[in-house]
Amino acid sequence: MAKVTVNGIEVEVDPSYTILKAAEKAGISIPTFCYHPRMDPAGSCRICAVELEDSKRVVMSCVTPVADGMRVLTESPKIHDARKTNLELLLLHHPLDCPVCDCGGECPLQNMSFAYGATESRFESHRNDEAEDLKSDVLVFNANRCILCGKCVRICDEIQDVHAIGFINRGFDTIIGPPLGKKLDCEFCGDCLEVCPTGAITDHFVRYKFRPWQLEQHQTTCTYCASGCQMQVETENESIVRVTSKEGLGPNEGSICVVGRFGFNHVQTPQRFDTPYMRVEHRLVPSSWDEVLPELASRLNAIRRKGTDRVAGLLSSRVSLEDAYAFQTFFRRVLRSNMIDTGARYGFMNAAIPLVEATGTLRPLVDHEDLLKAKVILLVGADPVAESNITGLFLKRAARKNRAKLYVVDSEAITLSTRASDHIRIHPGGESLFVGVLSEEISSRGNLSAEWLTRKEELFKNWNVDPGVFQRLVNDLKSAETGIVVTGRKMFRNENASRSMINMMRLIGSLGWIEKEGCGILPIPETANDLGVLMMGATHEWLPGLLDARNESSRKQWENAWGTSLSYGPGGGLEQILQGIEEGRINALITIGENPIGHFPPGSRVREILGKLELIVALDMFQNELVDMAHFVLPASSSFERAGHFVSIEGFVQKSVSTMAHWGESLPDWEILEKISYAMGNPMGFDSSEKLMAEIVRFLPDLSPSTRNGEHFVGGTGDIHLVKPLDSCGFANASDVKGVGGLSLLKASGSTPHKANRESVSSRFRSWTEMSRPIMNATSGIPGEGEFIFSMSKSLFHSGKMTLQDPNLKKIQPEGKLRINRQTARKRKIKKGEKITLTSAHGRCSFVVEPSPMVSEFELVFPEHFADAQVLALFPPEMAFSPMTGTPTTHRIRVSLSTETIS
Amino acid sequence: MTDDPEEEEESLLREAGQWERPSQAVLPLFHKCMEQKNFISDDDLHRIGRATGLVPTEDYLAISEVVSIGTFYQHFAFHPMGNHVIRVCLTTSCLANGAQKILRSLMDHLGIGLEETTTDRVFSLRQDQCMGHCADAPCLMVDEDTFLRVLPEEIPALLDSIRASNTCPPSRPLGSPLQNEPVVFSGLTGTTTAWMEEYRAKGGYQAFGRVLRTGSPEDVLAEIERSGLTGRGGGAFPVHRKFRGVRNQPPPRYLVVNADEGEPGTFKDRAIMERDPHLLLEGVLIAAYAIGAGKGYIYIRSEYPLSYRILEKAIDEARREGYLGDRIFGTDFSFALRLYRGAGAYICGEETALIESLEGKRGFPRNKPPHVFEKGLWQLPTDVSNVETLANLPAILGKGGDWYAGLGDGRSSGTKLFCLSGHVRRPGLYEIPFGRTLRELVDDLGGGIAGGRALKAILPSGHVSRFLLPHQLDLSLDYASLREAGAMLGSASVIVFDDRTCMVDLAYWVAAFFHHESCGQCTPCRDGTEDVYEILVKVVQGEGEESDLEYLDILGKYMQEASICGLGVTAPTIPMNSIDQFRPEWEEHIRDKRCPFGVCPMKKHRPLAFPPRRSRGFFDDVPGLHPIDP
Repeated sequence: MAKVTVNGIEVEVDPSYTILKAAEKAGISIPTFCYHPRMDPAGSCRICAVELEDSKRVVMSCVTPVADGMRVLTESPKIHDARKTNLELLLLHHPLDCPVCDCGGECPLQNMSFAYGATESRFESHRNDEAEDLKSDVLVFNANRCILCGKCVRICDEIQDVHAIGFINRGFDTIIGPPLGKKLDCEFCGDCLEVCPTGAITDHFVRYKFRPWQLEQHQTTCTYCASGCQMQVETENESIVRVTSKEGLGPNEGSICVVGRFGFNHVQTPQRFDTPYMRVEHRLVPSSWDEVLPELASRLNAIRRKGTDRVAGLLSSRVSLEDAYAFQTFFRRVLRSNMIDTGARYGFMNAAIPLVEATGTLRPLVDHEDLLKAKVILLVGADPVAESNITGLFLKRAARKNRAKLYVVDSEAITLSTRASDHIRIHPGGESLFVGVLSEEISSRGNLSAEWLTRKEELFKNWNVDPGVFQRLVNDLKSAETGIVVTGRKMFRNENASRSMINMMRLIGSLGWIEKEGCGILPIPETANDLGVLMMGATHEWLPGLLDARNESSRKQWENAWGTSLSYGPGGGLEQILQGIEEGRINALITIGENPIGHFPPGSRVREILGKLELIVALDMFQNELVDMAHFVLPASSSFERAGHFVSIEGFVQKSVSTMAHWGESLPDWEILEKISYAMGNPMGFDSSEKLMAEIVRFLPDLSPSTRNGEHFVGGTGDIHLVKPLDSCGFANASDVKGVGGLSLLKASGSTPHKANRESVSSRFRSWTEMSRPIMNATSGIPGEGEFIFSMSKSLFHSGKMTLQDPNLKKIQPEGKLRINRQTARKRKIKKGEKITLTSAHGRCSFVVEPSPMVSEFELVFPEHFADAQVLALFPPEMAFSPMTGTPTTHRIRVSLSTETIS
Repeated sequence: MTDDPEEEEESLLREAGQWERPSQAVLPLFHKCMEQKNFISDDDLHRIGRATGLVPTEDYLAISEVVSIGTFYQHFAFHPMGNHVIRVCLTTSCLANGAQKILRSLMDHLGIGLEETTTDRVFSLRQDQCMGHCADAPCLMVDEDTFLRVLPEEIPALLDSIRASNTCPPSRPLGSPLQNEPVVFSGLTGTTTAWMEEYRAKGGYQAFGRVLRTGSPEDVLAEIERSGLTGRGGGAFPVHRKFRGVRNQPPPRYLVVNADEGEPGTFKDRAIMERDPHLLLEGVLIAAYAIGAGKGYIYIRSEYPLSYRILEKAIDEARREGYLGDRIFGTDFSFALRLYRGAGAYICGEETALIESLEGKRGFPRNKPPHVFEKGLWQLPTDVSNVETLANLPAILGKGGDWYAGLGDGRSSGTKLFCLSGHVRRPGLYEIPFGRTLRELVDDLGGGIAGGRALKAILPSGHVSRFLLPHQLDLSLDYASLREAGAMLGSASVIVFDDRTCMVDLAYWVAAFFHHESCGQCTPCRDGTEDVYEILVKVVQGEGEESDLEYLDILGKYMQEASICGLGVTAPTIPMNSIDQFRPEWEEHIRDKRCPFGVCPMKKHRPLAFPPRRSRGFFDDVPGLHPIDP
């Protein structure tokens, strides 16, 4: 330890500390421009100068290590002068257009100039007068205001690993921007905007539309993907102006992605439902809650009386814990139905069911910090940057800074494959065969049975897997101390998804990757609360706490907890619901943010089947195909308007708060259900979301809110202290509250309450591993001559179909383009922006083409968000479901390509 | 470049694979493009981005970092240039001998300004910051051919002959020969390059051979310590201590030769590299052996294409003869040496900037600590030594450290190469032991002031030091004496000015130089050099105010206090000292709006022959850099 005296205050710090950090420990803030806590210090702005009392030397505190006995002055007259001169230099050519600068009012340069009285110039010169770069719709670059601290360039490089902007030229003539004066084209995370200490980078969407001091700030959780980012929603007059982040805050440490930062405007567009609608003589007419509720209640009561499982429910997995809990309560207690399912059925269920079987929990085994401890990371069938952006950032950090060996198994090149030690560009559809062979190779210790050897040969021969690379991977897996398998959407939406999940779990089991920190498997949930809605029992399989819904004793537990008897039927998921409707066993359907028609090809008769229903109730924000058929359309509040909790990919239970007024008459989902139950004469008794959450935590205490980095860094303004947010994410410690008996399955370990308890999981997992048998997958063949595999991916710029309504994100990605391998396009003389037609055995559809070097030559990839009925028409009309997990299984289809367009 | 894009891409990838890390190949690949067609196209940027792996796969992203690196260096051009690029030296020694007139003549006859290209695309005109022919000023370069002591009236004939034949009359003069009797550097007097055979014939590589056979690295270090040799690049730090610092670090270790001799008025290293390249290589081997380095680089500036070619050949010879490679002459000592070319950035003479550049990045100096002996190239222990320093080692190991120490005056050991330029009768390279007087150098060896004029001032070390005045001519030329006089010996590039020199004009050009060469990383230097330059522009245009000089002083002191590296410290020195030492001249410019020497324009509308600024704008938006008619 080194003893350092800062302004007379003595502190003992680690000798590796810089003066800046030592001062922070002494409670003294030193102003900074170029310093950023997550990045290596640059030491270039020279504003953090301090004086060494003994030698009278001026040193930069951000880069100078402490020495024992060092005495530092941070505000001596000499330092004050130095900072003043520095600011004078910066302001001399600065345009001083603060009155019309969006940064004015929250500008560190402004604040610092004020603090050091840099009010007069001892020299006069020209003001910088370059034209602004307005080419991008997202960010405006103003070189005149730039002080060249370089934080934007460094964050784009060190944290985002995107390298979209750079220094151009040198010396005083340096500017920052996209290369060659081109339009900015990047991931649009906006981190550069966030760190800019002046108005050199500003938000184009809200240019000249706000003054920062007039904005009200709400710290909340982003509810798009499962990263669980903490962000600031900034409002004026109860409408959202912009979304920002706080450095260091939350699991995201201050970074947020494009969708989180810019995708907020759809909730304040006129297309949103602002009042309940009721169908009167084939037409939906605007109505009111007072009118709608009694009518709806009596119709529901009539159907309920017919028996159990008469009403089905489909719930979006983007809703909060509260909504999901109310949803299943409403169905099981009020409607006596277990015919319920969630959006997780389309993908994540394939991971969830095997996971719960093997480990008994959906608490993740690993969090993002584990990724940094892993020596080997195997990434199969996932694009983390698009699916869970912060997971992507941590993987980038693991590969780049921690030099973890990253193996990417994917037919497409993804952002992370450039950082991979090996990218196995397996042909599309081969992933499940790959994990099967790999898992068997490891668990049999290389003694493959003849049958598996054939499989392995097939892998090498037909699926573009290099035997040498495969062996290298096997060796690395076997020799690594720590390792993690990461998987995601592409794997979940593989026809053999659940089998592959089991194989991957066998793999980590055989490697002993369960017991140790930095080991395990990380399936990336597809939405913000896939984990949460399942934990809340919003599917037919599970009661809250992941108890088997068909098991008598678990049902008893909840009957005791709720003090009521539960008489729901055997129930079923999406498949059984559609079947039941078709057979007339189900008479009503209530959907919350779900539209099954949008998921199936037009030939699949879903619309026809749903037409048989007596009653369709849709809780939604926007019009869609199901809404068009509904008898009642109830306006739901967006996640920006209501409070609720979400379980992140890392297992944190975080609160999203109400940041704006409810849109029109819209209400939170739980409240709509409560109102219906009240009108039905069977109220659930939830009178606020707080009470609802309190009940959840009372029964399931380890779902008490938790987060990482509940403190944030206040940089820029000169204050570098870590600040605890006023509205702390954490609840009072609820561990002393007794839970419902037997719910220890959810139980997390003590020091990391968000993660699964490795000890309790590992014994169960071990016996599961021993019992589990290798599963051989059937694989679809590789495409023949002139054929392609058509598949759909998640775009970085959208989340589900909801964001297609967002004006900001629509500007960033206005339409879906079919990505085709660039070489293939060149060979076939197909140019960017041209239209081509794909024909499958079932239908044809035209697409606008975008050649890309990332796509494999066998594949054509289209962003799922834009997949309308015409696109879905390529898929077979028969609805096929996985016998193991009930998930729809058709996600890829063989197509042929022609350049003629459909008239 | 070949026509087949895929083959081209392959060849770039191959080349990138030959470097320690692919990202290191950025500068070499840029040079390759420049050699082939005088500029770097957008396609090249993409290809180089992919080949060097700086970049994620999507094309667009590829180029940001590559563009950022490329635009840092003056040598690289990103718009089509003419078939022949004329570079005119605009630094102190050449300016003192009329470089402005050469530039003016070129501009008049070509009808273009700096950084522009003639409409027939035959010529582009660019500037250079010192070509290392300061004793033969003014000079200019056409492609790789160099013309010395050029007269303005010779320009039309030169241009015509190039136009007529589409080739340049070959002119590749070696760096200045030694003008006096050599002590250590006997190889610098010949008329041609001493290749392997000649070098060995006069006893070359014997010192290294003996070291390899009998001496332990510690013996070598002890011998160097006895010699009292100090760094000759300007820092004058004891070499044995520097070497030991690296030696005490765990391997792998690197030896990097700083051949980025950018200090205006310095041309000693050029002479060594072009006349006696094996002397340097033998010195490199001895140093590498002493510090236990397995790999080494010679970082050579792009203004010295001839040195590059000669060293390339010399290294080949040394490799063929077994002096470089694995297990040299059957011993355990292995050493690999490569050349790396800079690209026109004075800052890369600073050792940490040099290392950044050697890693294939922008030449931004690093914050110290850590020092390069702990964390240098690739964050590994590295010694960065000057060419002249290393070239002393064969003699020290051959004749003994005591012999070398005995050459000096007792305060500084050995001899020093002095680069004498400016207004003297016999400018050139002189090797003199420490302790001779300035008068001996300027008057006895240099023949005094040319043209019968009187001495006004001397810069003893390029742009680094305070001026020495006529009354200081009897100062002893050693590090300590000059330091006591408030000046510096530095790299010993002595530039002499006669009584017709306008000190304000001189300060103006120096300010322009630093403004052009600041890397722009830290605020004090980036904005400071800009403001010093602007003040000087005001003064030479007759708009200066007294308060400007005060501000310059405040500014200069802040730059010296807060800059990251020596450039920011040095940049305001000459203007500040000039004001201090020649105040009346400055007052005349400011108060009377008159240049007593008739040099400064003193009017705002009179165009300055000043170095062009790059625009702060995106460079494709800037008309000055879009010189070709569509």
